[in-house]
Amino acid sequence: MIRLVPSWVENYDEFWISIRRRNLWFIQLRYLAVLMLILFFSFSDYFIEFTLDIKQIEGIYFTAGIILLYNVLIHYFRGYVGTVPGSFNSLHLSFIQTILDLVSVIFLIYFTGIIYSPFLTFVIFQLIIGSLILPGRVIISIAFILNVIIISLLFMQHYGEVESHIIRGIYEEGISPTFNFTLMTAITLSFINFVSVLLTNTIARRLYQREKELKETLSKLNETEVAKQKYIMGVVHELKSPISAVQSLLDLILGGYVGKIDPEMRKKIERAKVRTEESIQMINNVLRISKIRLLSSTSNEFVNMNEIIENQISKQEDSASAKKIKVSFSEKRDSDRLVSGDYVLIELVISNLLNNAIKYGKNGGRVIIESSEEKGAYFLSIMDDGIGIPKDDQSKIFKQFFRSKSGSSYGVEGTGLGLSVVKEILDRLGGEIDFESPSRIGDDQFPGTEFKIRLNFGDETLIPHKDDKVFMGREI
Amino acid sequence: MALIALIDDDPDIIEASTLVLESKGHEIIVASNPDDGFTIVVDNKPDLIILDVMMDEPDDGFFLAQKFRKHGVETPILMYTSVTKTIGFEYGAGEMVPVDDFVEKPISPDMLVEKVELLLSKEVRSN
Repeated sequence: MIRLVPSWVENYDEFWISIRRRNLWFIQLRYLAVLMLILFFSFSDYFIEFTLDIKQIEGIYFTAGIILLYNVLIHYFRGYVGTVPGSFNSLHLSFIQTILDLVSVIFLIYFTGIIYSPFLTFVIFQLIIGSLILPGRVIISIAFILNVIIISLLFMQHYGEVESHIIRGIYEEGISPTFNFTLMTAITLSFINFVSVLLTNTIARRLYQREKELKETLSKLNETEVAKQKYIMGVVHELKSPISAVQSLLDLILGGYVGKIDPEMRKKIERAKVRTEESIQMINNVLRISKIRLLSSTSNEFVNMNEIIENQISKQEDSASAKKIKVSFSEKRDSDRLVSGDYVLIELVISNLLNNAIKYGKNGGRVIIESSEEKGAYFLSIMDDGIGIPKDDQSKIFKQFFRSKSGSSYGVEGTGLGLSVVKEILDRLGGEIDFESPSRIGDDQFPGTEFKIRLNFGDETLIPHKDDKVFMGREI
Repeated sequence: MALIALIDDDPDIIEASTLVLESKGHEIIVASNPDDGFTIVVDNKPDLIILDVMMDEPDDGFFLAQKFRKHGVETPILMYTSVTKTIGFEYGAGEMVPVDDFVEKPISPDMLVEKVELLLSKEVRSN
């Protein structure tokens, strides 16, 4: 077996993928070429006046038939050809295709008048295609042999050694190429052939190498990102320990474990607890982001959205009722098809969005959650009639640590990390998030915000039975 | 009334947890590193072990928990951690780690008491 594979691509998947892709592309191109060939010779005499003798017609249709036959065979066997460098692989298939194509073109050239053949320039095209796939030395050898054959044919035609099947109507009958014409054609054609092969092959080779370098750089970048996230996690973790201890001690005092405290002191300590809680929240969010970025895969399970939404509404009932906000959920779908994704991550998304809606909602306002099904995907809108997001800030809200001025001035505490967590998760799950402010239920003073997320459905329309205690490995 | 071994390297966490648990009438023995922790558990045979996941080295607590099980100590283990619920799927109880429950730091007194009582009552029932 000839080793067609250059050593630098042996273990480079991208190279094989593109070879396979190009092979398929050439197969399709060849079907098209056969079709064009038949159409051209069958119908073009209505437009251009030319006639073919019986030998030419037989030759052309025979060649077209052969091309079709080997194309079907290659198309069929293509799927069975592997990418193992030592054995018969995709590159060998490319090699065979190139040879067969060139032989077919030579036949066509022969049957259409050799030097006067409209197919003569097709050789250049064929060689360029071959240069895209095959290694330099192989395609240069092919080009060399091909040139020898064509030059021989040209001179044999000049000396009358082969029959000249000139297409009558395009050229005068009985025309014979002069020596100089033959020589010039031979020189120009071989020159163009070699230059095209060399240029194309060099460019194709460089492209592969560039692509390979890019891939390597990308994987190095990923490694750096992992190291960075691990470092961040470590540092943030270290920060969390003392703050946790502080909070535990504050809890101790507030819980009355160390004796009575007067109300004024209690107020201050409660305030201190709120502030430490804030920093713990922020730390947890940073940990979450790092964790999500470190995760190479998220679990893919069927998730019952209604369950998550209802759970979250009841979990955040206290904070909602503290602001007299009415949270409602309306299901606008006919089915309760399950969404695919990671239960915990989706829960985190919903909890963050609902939390935001309440936090930035106005006192006595509303939060409306609406689920719908559009274009085969699951959509969930969470809207409030709160302070909204000013136009200037709208492009920045998914950035880490960004907080809208309207939020801070409204006296809402936040870490500026929640939405970046949400975005990160949805990116992971192949979902999307978008928002609008003002929302559908806002007014001039309180424009409100509406977040809309898209998630994908699971493959099955199965939903857990009411009496089931466990579904897809999770308690329900 | 139960004897609880508390193994944590943070003196403030030890103090806070001790106060809370003692107020519920439990007796507490403490250790501030994995080696001492192992000794007090083997010597005193407590009803419950509370273990911090990270002491000198990350995952110290896990190794200690495994060491207990390897040496036939079947006492329920409650683990203090600062990452469990931050992401949720970090580790669940019993999953590769032979612990019975987790408490995420910062530890709220109510949560601690609730989890401790739950584990102790399970222990009583299984005995």
